[in-house]
Amino acid sequence: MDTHARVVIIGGGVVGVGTLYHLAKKGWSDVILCERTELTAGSTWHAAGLLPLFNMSYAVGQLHKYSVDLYKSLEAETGQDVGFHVTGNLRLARTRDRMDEYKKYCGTANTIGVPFELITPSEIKELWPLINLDGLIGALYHPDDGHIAPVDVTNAMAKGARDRGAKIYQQTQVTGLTRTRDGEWKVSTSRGDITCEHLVCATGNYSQDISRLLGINIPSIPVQHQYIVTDVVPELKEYRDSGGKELAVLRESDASYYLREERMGYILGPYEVGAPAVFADGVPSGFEKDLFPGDLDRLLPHVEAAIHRVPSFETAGIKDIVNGPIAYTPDGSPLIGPAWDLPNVWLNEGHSFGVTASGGAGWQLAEWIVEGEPTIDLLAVDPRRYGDYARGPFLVKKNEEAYENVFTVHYPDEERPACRPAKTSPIHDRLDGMGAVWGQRYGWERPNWFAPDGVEAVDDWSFRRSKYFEHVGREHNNIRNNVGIIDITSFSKFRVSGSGAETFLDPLVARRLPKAPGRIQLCHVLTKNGGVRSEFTVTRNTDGSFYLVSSGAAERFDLSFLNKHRPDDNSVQVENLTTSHATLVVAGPNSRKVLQKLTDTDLSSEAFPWLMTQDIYVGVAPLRAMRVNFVGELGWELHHPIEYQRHIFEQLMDAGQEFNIGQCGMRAMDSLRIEKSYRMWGQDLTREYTILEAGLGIFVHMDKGDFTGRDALRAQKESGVPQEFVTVAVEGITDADPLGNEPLWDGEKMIGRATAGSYGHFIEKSLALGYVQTGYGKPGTKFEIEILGDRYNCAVVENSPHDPENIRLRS
Amino acid sequence: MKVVVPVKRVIDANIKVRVKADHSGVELNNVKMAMNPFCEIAVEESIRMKESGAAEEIVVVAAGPQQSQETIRTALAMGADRGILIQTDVPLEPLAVSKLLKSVIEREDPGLVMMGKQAVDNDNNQTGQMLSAMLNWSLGTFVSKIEIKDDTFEVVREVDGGLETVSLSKPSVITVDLRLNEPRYASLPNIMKARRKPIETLTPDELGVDVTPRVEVVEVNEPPNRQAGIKVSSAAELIEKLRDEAKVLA
Repeated sequence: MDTHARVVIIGGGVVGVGTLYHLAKKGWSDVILCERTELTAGSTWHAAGLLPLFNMSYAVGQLHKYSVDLYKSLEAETGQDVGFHVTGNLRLARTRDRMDEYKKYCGTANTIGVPFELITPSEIKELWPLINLDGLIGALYHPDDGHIAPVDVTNAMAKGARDRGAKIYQQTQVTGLTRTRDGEWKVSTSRGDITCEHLVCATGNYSQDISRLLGINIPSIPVQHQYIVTDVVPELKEYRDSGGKELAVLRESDASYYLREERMGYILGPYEVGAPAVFADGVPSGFEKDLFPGDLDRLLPHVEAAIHRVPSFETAGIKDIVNGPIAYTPDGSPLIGPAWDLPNVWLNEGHSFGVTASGGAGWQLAEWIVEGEPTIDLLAVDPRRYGDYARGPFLVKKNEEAYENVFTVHYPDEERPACRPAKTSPIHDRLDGMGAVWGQRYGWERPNWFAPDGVEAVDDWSFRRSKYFEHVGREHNNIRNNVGIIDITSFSKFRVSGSGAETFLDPLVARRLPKAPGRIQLCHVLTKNGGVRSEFTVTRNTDGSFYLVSSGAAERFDLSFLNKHRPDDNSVQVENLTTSHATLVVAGPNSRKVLQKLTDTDLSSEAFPWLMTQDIYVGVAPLRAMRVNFVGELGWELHHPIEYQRHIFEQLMDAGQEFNIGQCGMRAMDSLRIEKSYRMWGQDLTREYTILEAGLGIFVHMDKGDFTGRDALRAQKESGVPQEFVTVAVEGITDADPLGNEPLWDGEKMIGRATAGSYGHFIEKSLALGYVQTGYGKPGTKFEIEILGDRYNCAVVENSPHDPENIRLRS
Repeated sequence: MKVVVPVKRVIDANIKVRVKADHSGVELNNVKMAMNPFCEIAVEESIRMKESGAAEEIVVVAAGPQQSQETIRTALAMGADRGILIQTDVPLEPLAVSKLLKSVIEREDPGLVMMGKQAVDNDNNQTGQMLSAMLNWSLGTFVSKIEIKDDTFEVVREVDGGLETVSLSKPSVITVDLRLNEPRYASLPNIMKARRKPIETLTPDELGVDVTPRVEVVEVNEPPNRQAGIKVSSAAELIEKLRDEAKVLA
């Protein structure tokens, strides 16, 4: 056995082997995979082998597409048959919301190049003659996917990896992981030690066991998934014997099951309510290549629905009920990317659809390890999208919830109830009493909107304009016309101090750090390719330290980045203030009048200009008033020690009473920022677009000295940007708005995609933000946008259609 | 005719059996269990008898822990009429099972007891034989064909070197072999119906049977791992190795 390797991968399921294969393919042949027993022994061996291209996520959709393309070529490459049956895949719809979901998805599919068709009931019958059409209104059909033999595809990738020099050690259990003095990892195994530069965890069911060895909590634990295998079905056999081709994989989303052919019989796999999470404390000794007993009660409602839909299922003999553990995460998407706080540790964990994802996940992770960056925006699957809260009971409840929601309609504004509230700001109950309708992000409760008196404080999810549309509009216009409060306590807040703070931060961001004490600037951390990794609102404090604010969802993502790059000579300290400091925004034309009643500090623009910070008092509360906000009006962000939040809030409410001060939720904040063309980190600003393409060149100082991404930007400045950022106004739409991921068309040519959208309640236009090919970006340019399957005319409007000169901001 | 079919819950035949860490037995925790495949064949045959009109009622009997009820339900879903569970957590040996069955059979008074020739967990191949002796009934073992005559069962036995046809005077105990039939799988509606079929639960005490084990298990070990094979370069080398190393050729 080798005792040193560049990379050691732990776990020989389809995901680990997919990673090994892609590392080897990228030329890293000095790589070893350790498998505790034998390849595929965890979950891969009992996977149903489906390859659904369908995924609502832009990132995951791209990974799945890559996998399907790869698996088609594996046999030719390796000589190993992978049992790929390109049967097509039919997703049935019974309701308009379900069709809306498919249509929304179709926009995403168009932007990533996945072929699909929306078909009618009679076309369903042609494709699937054994079906009962009762209650169906249509279906989404993917001609290119189907199912595959999971063990064979694993073996094919294993062969491809071995052929390139990679090694696979089976019957090799990892028993310890330690850092060596040279900064490498020592992997202790049942067959000896291996030291390595990089460590990849692809342990699936064993994520909690490996968590213990690493000393972190990987937010993944398995949930039981069952499927039924039937004996030969006479009706199916007759159809096939008479020349019928293999039936498409059938998914009746509204009854939460999939059904496919297997040896002239069926496999039926439901996502049931009540399936338990397992192995929260690790896999018990003695559980090897094992299954759980079948639980028929849980299966019944789905079986009844399947019998109704596919009548020949009724008399089919039940050969087997397979009930095995499958890894899950709280949002159902995998964990692909670096771990936090541990150098050179990479996760490829939490795969519920591992067979489909393995190729793409292995490809992107290998690219990340070998080349330093993935090409696809992987934020949706980044392991650092969760924080400390994502452990133990949170995982159990959320993963069970994710499992039972696999087939529910994935509304864009969906908020799931399990494990809430987890984190709340001190005024949570006050806002609740004001009709707050809550959402959860990164564990934090945040008001999405406020139900006025007489309106039930219940959310109403939709792909179209929802019942809350008018209430969000009122909050929106109250900020534009009057004054409102927004609780953004969930935002991430860091203090970077020490003698080396400035020299540490400067090369990380693309613009010069603010010079004057109190000055605020928006600064971006770029990728090597000039894409946007992080966005910080940076303030230089009077003591020379810096105050950084970033998205609430970026706490671990940004903190681990700062810590990773921090010099280890104690010259720089990074303090996480996220949970010790709260933030209230007071914004709107009357915000100065309200706040001035509460402080002696002169708030006039002469004394307190835009983009400046001052330490002030409101009542007894000391706070950092920052004249900046994400809604594009006169206003202040009030950052303060969290224990004063209620005190400050009550004073603002009292002082604001004469102005009829209102509350404003996250949804209005989003529509407000879209009217200002403010790009949202993670949505409009990602690693897939350079900051120049994003139209934020003014936030880049090419002459400031070296910073990550500078070379790429310089090259792009010379060659010109291939795409440009636009704000477009949609014409003639009355019941829906863009939401992001809509294709933009010039005739039959796709010229770009929207990344965000909303109704601009103040300027009264339906708006989208997005990227178009260079040449389509001039205000007045007309093209089409595809929204829920229909095309609408739209025209580029000027950047920041509301207050383009920032007059109101500076007033 | 009433048919009694004893069934046994065993580790699923497709699952790799593991020895417990303390070598006291095999691991049963978290392990998928199923009906012994030979018992399935007996259940199937009884259902065919009922479908042909030869049998009126099929009573399935299992002895073992509470979960053995699931095995009874499987038989009920296939088409048996009712079940009897003799519930005990004591590990049962063939003699104890035979005594338990005898007591139930005396109560039920069937014309035929049909059961698997052996269970795939212990491979004892004893219960049918002991039971027939205790009942003083005729016995046919390793049966691959059954013909029902007026006063007899004419059965074909799979014996070493061929087939033997024997005639059994009723009532009889028949233990069935692999080639008798291919058992059906229950459909879901039948699995559901089976949940409403009656299962009576008894205990060894109620039947007056002492099931205390008489055999002490000293240690259970896995068979030694198979050694890796070698490749030979010629037929001559193969013969040499078979003769000199394997010593299977003279």
